Amino acid sequence: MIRNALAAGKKRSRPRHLLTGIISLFFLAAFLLLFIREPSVQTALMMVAVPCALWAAAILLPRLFPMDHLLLELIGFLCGLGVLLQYRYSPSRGLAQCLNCGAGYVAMIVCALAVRHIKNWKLLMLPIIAGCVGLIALPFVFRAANKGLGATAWVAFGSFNMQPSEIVKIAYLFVLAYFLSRRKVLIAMIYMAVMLGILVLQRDLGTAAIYGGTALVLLYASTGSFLLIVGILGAGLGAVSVLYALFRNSFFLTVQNRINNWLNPFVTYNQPGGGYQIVQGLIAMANGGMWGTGIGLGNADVIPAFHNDFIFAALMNEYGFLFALIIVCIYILIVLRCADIGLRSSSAFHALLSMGSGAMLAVQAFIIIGGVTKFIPMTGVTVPFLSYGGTSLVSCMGVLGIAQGVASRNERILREDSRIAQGEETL
Amino acid sequence: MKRLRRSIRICALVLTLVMMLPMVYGGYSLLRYGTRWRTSEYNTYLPSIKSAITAGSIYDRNGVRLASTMEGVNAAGETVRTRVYADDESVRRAMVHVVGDTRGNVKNAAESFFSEYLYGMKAGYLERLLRLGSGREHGDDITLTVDSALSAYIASVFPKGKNGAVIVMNYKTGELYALCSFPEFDPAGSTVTLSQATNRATRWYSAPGSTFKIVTLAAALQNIQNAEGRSYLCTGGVAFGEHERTVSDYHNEIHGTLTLKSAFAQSCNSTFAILASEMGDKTLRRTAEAFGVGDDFTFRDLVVENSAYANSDQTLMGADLAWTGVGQNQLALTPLHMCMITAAVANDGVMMEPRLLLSVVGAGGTQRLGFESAAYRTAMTPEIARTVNEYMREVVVNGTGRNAAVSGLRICGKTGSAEIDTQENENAWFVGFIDDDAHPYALCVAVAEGGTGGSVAAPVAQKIFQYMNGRLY
Repeated sequence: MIRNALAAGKKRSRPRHLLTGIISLFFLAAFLLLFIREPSVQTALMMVAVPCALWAAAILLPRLFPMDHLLLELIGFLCGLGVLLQYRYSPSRGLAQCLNCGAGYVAMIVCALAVRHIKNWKLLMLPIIAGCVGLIALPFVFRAANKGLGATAWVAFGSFNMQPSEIVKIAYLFVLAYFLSRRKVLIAMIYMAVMLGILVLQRDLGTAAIYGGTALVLLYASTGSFLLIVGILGAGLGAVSVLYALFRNSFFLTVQNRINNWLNPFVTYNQPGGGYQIVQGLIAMANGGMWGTGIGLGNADVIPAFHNDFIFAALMNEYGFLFALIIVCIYILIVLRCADIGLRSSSAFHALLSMGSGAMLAVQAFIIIGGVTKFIPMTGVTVPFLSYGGTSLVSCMGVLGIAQGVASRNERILREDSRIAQGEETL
Repeated sequence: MKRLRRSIRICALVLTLVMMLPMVYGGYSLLRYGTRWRTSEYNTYLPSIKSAITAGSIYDRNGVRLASTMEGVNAAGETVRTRVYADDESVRRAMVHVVGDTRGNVKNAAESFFSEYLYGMKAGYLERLLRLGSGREHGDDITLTVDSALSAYIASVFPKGKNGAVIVMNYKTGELYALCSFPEFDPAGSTVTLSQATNRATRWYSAPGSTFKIVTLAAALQNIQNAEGRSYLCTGGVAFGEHERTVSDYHNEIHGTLTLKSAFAQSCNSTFAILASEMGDKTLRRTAEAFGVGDDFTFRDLVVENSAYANSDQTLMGADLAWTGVGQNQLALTPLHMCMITAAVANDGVMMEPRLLLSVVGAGGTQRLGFESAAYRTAMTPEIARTVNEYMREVVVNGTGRNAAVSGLRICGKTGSAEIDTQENENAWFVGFIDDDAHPYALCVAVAEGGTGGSVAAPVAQKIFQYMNGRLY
């Protein structure tokens, strides 16, 4: 078992530089195309800098501590793509996104190191829970003006805006995994209900869905009870429908709008807060077709929030539906890799942590991609790694840093085991 | 741990499937509605492409040029492209709802709906490279199935000053020979009203009046035993329910004792009201659905307003059901859909998809797309279609449609005078076809506030049939 895993690990390590090469070539070509359309020194620098940064990340980061290479490469690719997408419409935003990526990598390393080294989580649990509830309730106190349509999820400190629910995501995973791995299902469910309640009160239904969806996946993974999931899902949907029916014309007015926009975006096109955004997103998708209009040739900037919630429409516009499908496959690959890392882990806590980080990414990607393709009503959450914004990138990278930490922990245990095994053989 | 591993595997599988769902749905809607989204008036992308490429030309089936782009150079040395339409003003006016105009007043016309060909978006990579090399950015030329001379003739015989639509289609292939809407306008002119820009052939949905009895008749033949052998007594109207709401005949005319065939020929409302209430809402609704009522029309070449049987799914009762059976109540069909229903009768019950695009030729002379017809629906069995065919022949020989008869042609048809609450006059309808395999043409004439179908719409149809007979299509 251990030897097989070791052998597999060696096999995988060989083509990893090939992957980095291909990814670098992609960004080289993409920025070259932008350079040909509008030559500037900045674009020429980006053409070199982005591939170099990706190489550096791929070579240097694993020196710090053992990491999962595939995960690192894929995250690097998505981050680079995020920079490219932002840079195409606004170079200054692209450069800012580079800094956000840097912050994201730091968050990833911090989270990974925490998972790798912290042994006594029991002591930390109480402060973490208190911190979670305190942070997430912060928007009620320091409410940011005009941020996030309809939702009171933002906090302003001077000129600096942030969404605490993004950062709390990471801690939320730790708490759930801790209680579920110790079979304290009830405590985990109460904790989930409190967090969800606060988020619904803030009308941040997108984030609430991410929290709820992740918790459901973890509950199923730890209990294996399908009935429990159906029960919670039914109770949750029932509670939301009752709330919606009671407050549809007051508190949840925006929700009602969103549902109308989802069902008939062309009808509500001209109303304020109507289907304009969704229709323009669909048209951007149709303009792109299967193969896309080409880098630098699209016009996704007519969509409101194209650089943020609707970045996926901008992606389909210039790169085409097939490329977007590949991006979704990369998300799926990351999720499967997280599950795989969980499967290799020796403790239930770490297995759940890794699976939870994958599930969180999957649910978030589903909600926003489903919204853009009009599969489900639009709720404003960011596209993992691609959307503009520091908080979003830090939280996504932090969440995957958890999986990286579990991977590096697996690696360390594997090495210790093999050292012991070899020692026995020599004896 | 073993159980945990198993449930983690299941979670990973479920998450994979869930993440694929939006893309599966997105791909499906892109294939189904992509062209409609792209050519919607809200798209700001098309105009930017249009300025950079010389659009292809549009021809009719006989090679008459309907639209093309003239290239010139202005004083500053820049290329200037101007879109020009057919030379003959009567052709320009008659074709404007099919071809469209540069300002996009007519929604979803060929100029916008086929823009992916006209602006060269379907060109392959090699072609694009050659195009870049030669410096001649040129889109594809398209040929439409319409006959511009026939359309111009129709415009000349359509009642002056009336709104409405005329459609002529080949019922074996679905090719549209004419798709005229009135009032029309000149795309070379400057002012356009909303009424002129509306394509009434595809966008005007209203109660089709007695022409809908074709569907009621097919339903009766299919579902009521011995419907043909019975006799029917017409007393000028039938009362329903406690409020004594009556379904009356036109001007309360009393037809006396009728066979089903003579009732259809005389367009007797009482008989069809009785038939509709006998078979019930479910049966009539099912038959109407078999004819495409309630469908989400997504044809390859056309955007057509969907037809409706009623405003809701609630079961129709009493007078509402009876009025639906004679083509009134909440029924809403477009002239094109009525033409398709008629064509299905002529084509042994098979409804063909209406087509507008005959061929697309690339700038280099390569054929990009040819014509292929496709069956859209099977509306009824061949036996029932043949019986309805005979009944429709009787309408033209001995019934309300005598004004449409042309000697030497076996014309079948049905008249309709649809009463609309807000209008003083009825909408005049005539649907019919030439029952001849060598000349398989169906038509629909609809004149808003025209009067009765037999006196207003049928003579127009007669002239069109005569014109086509003289030209020996």
